[in-house]
Amino acid sequence: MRWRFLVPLFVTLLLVDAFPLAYAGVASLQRFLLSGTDLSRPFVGLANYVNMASSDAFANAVKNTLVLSASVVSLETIIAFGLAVLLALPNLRFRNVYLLVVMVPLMLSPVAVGLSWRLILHPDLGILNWALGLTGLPKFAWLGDVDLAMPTIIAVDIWHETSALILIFYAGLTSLPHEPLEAARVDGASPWQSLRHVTVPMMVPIIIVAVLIRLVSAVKTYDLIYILTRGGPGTATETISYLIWRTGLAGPLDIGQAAAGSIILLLVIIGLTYLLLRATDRLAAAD
Amino acid sequence: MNQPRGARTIRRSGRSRGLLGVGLAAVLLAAACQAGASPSPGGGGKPFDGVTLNLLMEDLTETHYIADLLPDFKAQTGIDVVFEQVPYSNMYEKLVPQLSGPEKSGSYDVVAVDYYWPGEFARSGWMLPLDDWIARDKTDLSGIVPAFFDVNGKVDGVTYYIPYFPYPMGIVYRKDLNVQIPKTMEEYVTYTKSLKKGDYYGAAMQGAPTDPIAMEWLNFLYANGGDLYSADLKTPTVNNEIGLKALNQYMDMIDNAAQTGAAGANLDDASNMFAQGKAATMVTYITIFAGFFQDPEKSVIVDKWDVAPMPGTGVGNVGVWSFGVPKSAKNPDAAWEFIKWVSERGISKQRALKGGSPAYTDFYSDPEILAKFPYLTKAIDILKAGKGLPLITKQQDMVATLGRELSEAASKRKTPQAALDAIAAKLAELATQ
Repeated sequence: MRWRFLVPLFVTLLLVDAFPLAYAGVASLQRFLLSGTDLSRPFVGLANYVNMASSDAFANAVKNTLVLSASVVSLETIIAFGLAVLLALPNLRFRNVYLLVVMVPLMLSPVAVGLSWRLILHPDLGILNWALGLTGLPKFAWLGDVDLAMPTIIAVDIWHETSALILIFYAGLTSLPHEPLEAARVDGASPWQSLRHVTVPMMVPIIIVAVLIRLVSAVKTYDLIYILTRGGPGTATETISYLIWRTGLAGPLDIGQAAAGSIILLLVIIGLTYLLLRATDRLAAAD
Repeated sequence: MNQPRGARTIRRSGRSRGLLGVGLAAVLLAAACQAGASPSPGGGGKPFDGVTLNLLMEDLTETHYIADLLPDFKAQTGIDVVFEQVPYSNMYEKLVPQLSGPEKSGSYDVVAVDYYWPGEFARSGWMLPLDDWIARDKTDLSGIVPAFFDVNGKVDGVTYYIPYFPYPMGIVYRKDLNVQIPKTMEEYVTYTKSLKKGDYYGAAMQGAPTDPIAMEWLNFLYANGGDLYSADLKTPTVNNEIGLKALNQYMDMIDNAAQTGAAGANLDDASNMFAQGKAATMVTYITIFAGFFQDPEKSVIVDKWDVAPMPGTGVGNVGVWSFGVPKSAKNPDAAWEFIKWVSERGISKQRALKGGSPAYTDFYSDPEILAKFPYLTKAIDILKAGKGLPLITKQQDMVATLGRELSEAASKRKTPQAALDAIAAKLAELATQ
């Protein structure tokens, strides 16, 4: 009868996960407008999915989401791993100070980060262009230039989100067994060879889990876009999550189509999770 | 707003809307858990002792002026008022889930409604009609500029909102630098381009999607004699040659007269540019920002600026904030008491004397008010000449579409004609909803 202890968990999951998910699933099959002169909600089959998936706005959002996710996940993983290796060096002085500094962005909410960076990036009144101006560089419209807006968002995201990966990698590095590294050193491996042929292979499962967590979060990016660019200039930085938000709550109030977009996004995330978990299993089997 | 000049006849179809039937369960659950006090009229010698009203307001100067006067309301009625002040961009998304809930389930008793929500809110069945209360209490609203009720007061012949705060758009400019606003839009564009020198710009502009660029560009459209729809609100006219001319002028200024990054700048960015003395002109909400530009802690241009109507037709975009009572209000009677109090002449004048934007016509010629805010003599002309948004049902969707497509053009992701055609296609769709 020990299963009874799990009842509260399952009831909670049912309320906070299963019910909204089922509701969104039903809504995605209805013509569901929150406001207007006709508020009836007839079932329309897969029309919302077809309309959403075939729209230019969705194609644009998918492209932007892919660029953003691939860029931030790859760059943050590389930067975070490099910094974690440095932080894990034996006999490093002021290690706790560095860890504290690294953790600061992690403690800030995305909204606070976005607002702060919006001030920093202001073309005329922001400190970044002022500093660059001292070196003779021209002013950059970081968020107003269609070619710079997405790279700028990627840079801000890296500043904000890399901390979490650093901590995961640092925890992983400090918990690795010492014996293989010691054996490599005795065999005459250089620090680079030890890192490449011993440390990295042992860290792969941790890296995969970290990348998975970060990827799922990156695909859902909404808050930074909302604060920094509102999807602009034009729709140059509009992601899938932002498109879903504006479809459902900022214009047409089309809950049906927004729900269809949410279900599509959910399926993509489930697919990504499955692929990465399979990769982890293969590595485990290879070991 | 001068109706004959505005040439807009708002259609009143008399359509009524039922409540949103099966609502968002999460919203209902949250609403059911709201800890709001029930009205307890009659206690303590004042009609609404113990009642607390919750209001959602934009965080701007007019809201602060009202907040300063709330002790007077409490003394009269016994009602406590709690203001939730949020940035403008958050208001719509906070209001919609609350308003679409069933009766007495919402968090807000009074809502401040901007001029591109009245049709949607009323026709979706979210607002209570005010006419019975007005008749019962013989509320005198005759001094309020009648056209404000056409923009944001009456929908389909029923009064749902009481206008309290008009905000006309016009041009603010640096009078100390001898800036002169030309007579035509073509001259204005050429003039502002000629003023751009180094870190000093001909215009501070707000080209960010969606609300900033939409509101700013409408002034270019109206000043050129254009409009979004034909007079019967059935046929989009936004993509005709006047619309194209207005958009080309706008893009020319964004590229050659405005500050770096104007295509991504919002209202705050542009206002700060003007307040810091870095721009010669700015198309903006002249009454909202009077206080900001005159604040020596935030502005280096105190007493160095003046206002002017848009060149060309002189017609600018005019917004109006109004108060209404949602059907989801827990205390609708007390909510009406608040609206009556805040709208009446005495309180309105006190707000005007603090720097507010008056809804009463004669305040613009009141010597006491003009002694403190002489620019209001020009503001009334800008108000009378201006026009609001077409009162279709899905006004928010219209503004969102405008902002997105105009920004696509301003950032060169679409040609001006393609962007205007996309807007026209959407407006045609919205005209039938």
